[in-house]
Amino acid sequence: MSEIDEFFRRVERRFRELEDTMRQMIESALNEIRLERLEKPYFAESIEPLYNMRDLGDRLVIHIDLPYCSEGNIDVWFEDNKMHIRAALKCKLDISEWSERYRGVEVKEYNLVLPLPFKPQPDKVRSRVKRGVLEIIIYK
Amino acid sequence: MFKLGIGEGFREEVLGEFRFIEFREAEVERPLTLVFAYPDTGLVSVISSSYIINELKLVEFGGIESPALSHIIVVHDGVPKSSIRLYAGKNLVVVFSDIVLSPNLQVSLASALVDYVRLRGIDYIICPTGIPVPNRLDVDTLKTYYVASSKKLAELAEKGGATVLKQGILVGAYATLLRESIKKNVNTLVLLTESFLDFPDPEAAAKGLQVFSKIVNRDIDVSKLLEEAELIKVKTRELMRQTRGVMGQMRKGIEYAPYLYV
Repeated sequence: MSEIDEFFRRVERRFRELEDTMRQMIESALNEIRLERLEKPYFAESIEPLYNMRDLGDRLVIHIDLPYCSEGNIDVWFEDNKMHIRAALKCKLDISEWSERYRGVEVKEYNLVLPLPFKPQPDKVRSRVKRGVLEIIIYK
Repeated sequence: MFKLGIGEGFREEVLGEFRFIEFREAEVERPLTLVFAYPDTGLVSVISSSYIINELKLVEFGGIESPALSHIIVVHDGVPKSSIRLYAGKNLVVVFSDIVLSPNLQVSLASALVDYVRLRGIDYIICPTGIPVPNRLDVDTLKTYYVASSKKLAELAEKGGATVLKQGILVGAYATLLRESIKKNVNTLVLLTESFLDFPDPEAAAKGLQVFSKIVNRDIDVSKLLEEAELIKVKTRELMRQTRGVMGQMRKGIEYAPYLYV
C-alpha cells in the first residue's frame, strides 16, 4: 500500500468523525427545540402565560399577562438564574365550552419557568400587578 | 337600504390571488362602511370586530378564498366556513379573519380589499386597530389616533374624538390599505387605539369601538366587552402567541420608534 493511499484513508476517517460529531450536535439541538415545543400545550390543567422581557440597561423588566387571576394567588420564586411563576385562576375554567377538543380539560393555573441572563439578588427585585399583568423589575 | 350579495345565487370575483365569494343576500344601508379585521397589535381589531358582529347581529354573506389558505377551514355550528369571512348588516360590512395571515398574504389581501370596495360601491373603509405604547400598563386614559386617506374621513374621525397621528411608522396590512387607498382614491380611515403590542387588549378594543361607533353613527354598547375582558384574554392567548410570531417577521416593533421625517 502506498503512502498516498494511507494518507487518503486517514483523511476519509477524519471526515467521517467530523460528520458524526456534527450530526450529534444537530440532533441534540433539534431535541431541545422539540422539547420546548412539547412543553407548551394550548390548553391543559396548567398553561403558560404570555410574557415579554426587556433589558433597560440597569434592569430587566418582565411583563407576564395573567388574566383571570387574583393578585393574592400569584407566587414568584427564583432558583439560580431561573424565575418561576405560578398563579391560580379565580376558578377552574371549563375549556370545552370553547372547543369540544378540550372535553374534560379544566384550566386551573398559569405556570412559567423563565431563564434569566443572570442570577438575581432577592433585594433587587420589585413587583406589582396592574390590569392583570404582573410586572417584575430585576435590577442588575 | 340596498342589497349586497345575490339572492338565490352565487357571486364570485377574483381579485389578485383571492376569490371573493358572496353566497347570500344581506340588506345594508348607505353610507356603507367596510371594516377589515385580522390578528394584529393587541388583537384589537379582531376583538372589536367580533364584538361588532355579535352585538349588531351581522349576517355572514360570503367568504374570501385563496390557494394559500385552501388547507384551512373554520367549523362553526357544525358548518365548514372560509377562514376569512364576510359579514354584513346595518351600514357595515366586516371582513374577518381569525387565523394569522403571513406578512405577504396580509399585504396582498389589503390590496385586493381596496379593489373589492371600489367594485362593490362601498363608501368607506374604517379599521379600528391598536398602536403599541411601551408604558401601556400605566396609561389609564387611552387615546385613539387616526390616519386617513381623505379629508372627509379625517373630519369624521375628529368628530368621533380621534386625534390625528402626526408622525410614526405603521407596519402591516393597514399600511398597505392606506397606501392603496390613496393611489385608487378610496376613503380609508385607520383608527389606532393605544394598546399592548403582544398581549390581547380588550380594553383598547372597547375604547376604539366607542370612537368607531360615533363615526359610523351606530350605537355599540361596550359594557359586555369590558365585563368579559379577562376571559377574552385567556381565550385569545394562543392566537396572540401566533400573531407575535408574524409581527416579529414583519418587524412590527419598529412602530415604537420615533420617526425622523426630513
